[in-house]
Amino acid sequence: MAAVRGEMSWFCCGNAWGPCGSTGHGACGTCNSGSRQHAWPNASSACFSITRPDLCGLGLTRRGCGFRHRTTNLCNGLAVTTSIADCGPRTRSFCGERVCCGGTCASNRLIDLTASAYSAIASLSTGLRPVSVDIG
Amino acid sequence: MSGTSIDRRQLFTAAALTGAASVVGATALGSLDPDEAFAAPKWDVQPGAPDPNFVEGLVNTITGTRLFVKGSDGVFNRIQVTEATSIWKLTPTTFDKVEVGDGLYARGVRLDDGLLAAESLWVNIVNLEVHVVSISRNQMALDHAGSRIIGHVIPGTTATVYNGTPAISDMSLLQVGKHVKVIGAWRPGTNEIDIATVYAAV
Amino acid sequence: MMSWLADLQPLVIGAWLTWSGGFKLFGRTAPLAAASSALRTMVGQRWALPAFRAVGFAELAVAAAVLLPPAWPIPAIGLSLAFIGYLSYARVAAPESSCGCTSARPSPIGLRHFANAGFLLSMSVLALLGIGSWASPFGGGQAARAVAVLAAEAALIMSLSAQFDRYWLIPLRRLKVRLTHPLAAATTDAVPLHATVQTLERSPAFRTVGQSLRSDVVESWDEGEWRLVRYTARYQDRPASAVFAVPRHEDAPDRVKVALLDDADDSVLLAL
Repeated sequence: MAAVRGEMSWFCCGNAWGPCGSTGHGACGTCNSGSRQHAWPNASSACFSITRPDLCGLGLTRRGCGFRHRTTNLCNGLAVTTSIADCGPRTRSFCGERVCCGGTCASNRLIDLTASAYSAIASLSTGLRPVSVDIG
Repeated sequence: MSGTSIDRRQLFTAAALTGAASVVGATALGSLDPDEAFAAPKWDVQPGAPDPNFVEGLVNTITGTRLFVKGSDGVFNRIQVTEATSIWKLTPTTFDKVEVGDGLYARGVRLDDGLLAAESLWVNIVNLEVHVVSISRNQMALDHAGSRIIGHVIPGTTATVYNGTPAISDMSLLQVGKHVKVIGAWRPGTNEIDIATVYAAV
Repeated sequence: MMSWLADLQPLVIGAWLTWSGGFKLFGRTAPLAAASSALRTMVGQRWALPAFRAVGFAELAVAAAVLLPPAWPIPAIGLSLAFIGYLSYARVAAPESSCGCTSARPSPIGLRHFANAGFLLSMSVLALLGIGSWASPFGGGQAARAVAVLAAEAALIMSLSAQFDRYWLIPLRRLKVRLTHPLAAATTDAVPLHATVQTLERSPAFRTVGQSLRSDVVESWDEGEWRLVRYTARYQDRPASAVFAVPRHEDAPDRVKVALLDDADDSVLLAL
């Protein structure tokens, strides 16, 4: 798989505090906010039906639970390797959205990292960063 | 932990606004070029495994500048907060605003005795993909994975990012029935949040 | 009067179940509806769609039982009770699931679904009191009245079904927002801090020192046309502060300045 450019965001999972109290452990049953994991828009056919990244022009290979991707923050070059633990983001709802950093831009929601993975390469309060995703 | 003194702020302001035509002492900083980081993939923690330098949970007790946090796995963690720790609670704030019962994520450096020396603390932060059910005065009813959440708009703080453009305070383009992503601060013990940023496509 | 009303119910029940069953068996988005429903939790992902189709078949069969002679409302009562049971299970075991009942649109289980199921049950029980066929209420000059009752019941069903909200409830809510401007107080002259951070992160200055930052925003303050934003940084394993000066009222990443100061003695390590 050639590296794909897009936007990363973060999410919570694992029956943690607040609104995360009822989210469960994700589509793979193993997701926790404190673990190096991520959600992928094409983790299964059921997942793809919900996220529909193709509607935004993104062709993403189907990868199942546990598959590893490496996400590189295009703002600062920091990278983190995580494994698939859930389905997401809902790419189809944000088609054409763009985020830029130092002249480098990326479009469309590509990957959601857990809070621990996202905070390893960006600040949680930013919410959205341009990234490059490759096989981990 | 109570904030920077006026004198120190004046010092910081002067240093930042003076600027320089060239990078002074840059070589002493080591590589500043982010492109160099691309060449060396970092894998400090096993993918899928818990991150030892990260803590999530609810604040159980506060002793001085130390937090005792109970994680969702039932494990207690000790977090040491210093002057260098950034603290987010809807906006950048100070340690005295952290309360027992707050939820948090913390990133820092795990010391040999298990204590986490915090570099960043995000108190009650949530990043939710929601469906806008209704909009009323300074408030939005949001649906998050089947649960109802009330989002409070805080004038002067809440901002909206439309299609990734610079954030503005004008929320008039938000529409009932659309999906948005919301960063906010949870109000402990409730199904309500204060909204920091709304990301919407228009 | 009661029996007249009761005679009409099989028509509404039959139409509703035919529409619902038809969607489950022949709808283009039925697989998506099945995947989003609590059937995934109940029978597993592999059997969710077959189970969904089976429910659709059952609904069509009950519709036939209710409409075709001898019209028999008892199966509809059983189906309504089963539906209420399924909604209760979904609410507890898979609260994030969608009903998926007549549409693939996201529809988390809520009060409206239970109300709909309760209405179906009520109509089915009322139908037990019928003495003629579903066509009999239209005779004797009562056709207009019968159509009015049917329209009212259909309107109630549709108002309780979230999939029709986009035709009436959402436009109503959007009109209310357009007329009342409930979020007008949010618009202020103050530039949001997030906008400043966005400008900062697009700047050459940030790209230069980004790797040395160790924290999120520690504090920010305004000084004339500038907003100063401070982060914790690391310089050769020594604590430092990175202070950015960002133009407050314009989106100008190229004008962003930064200074890196040693926390030990406040000496300036870097200034751009």
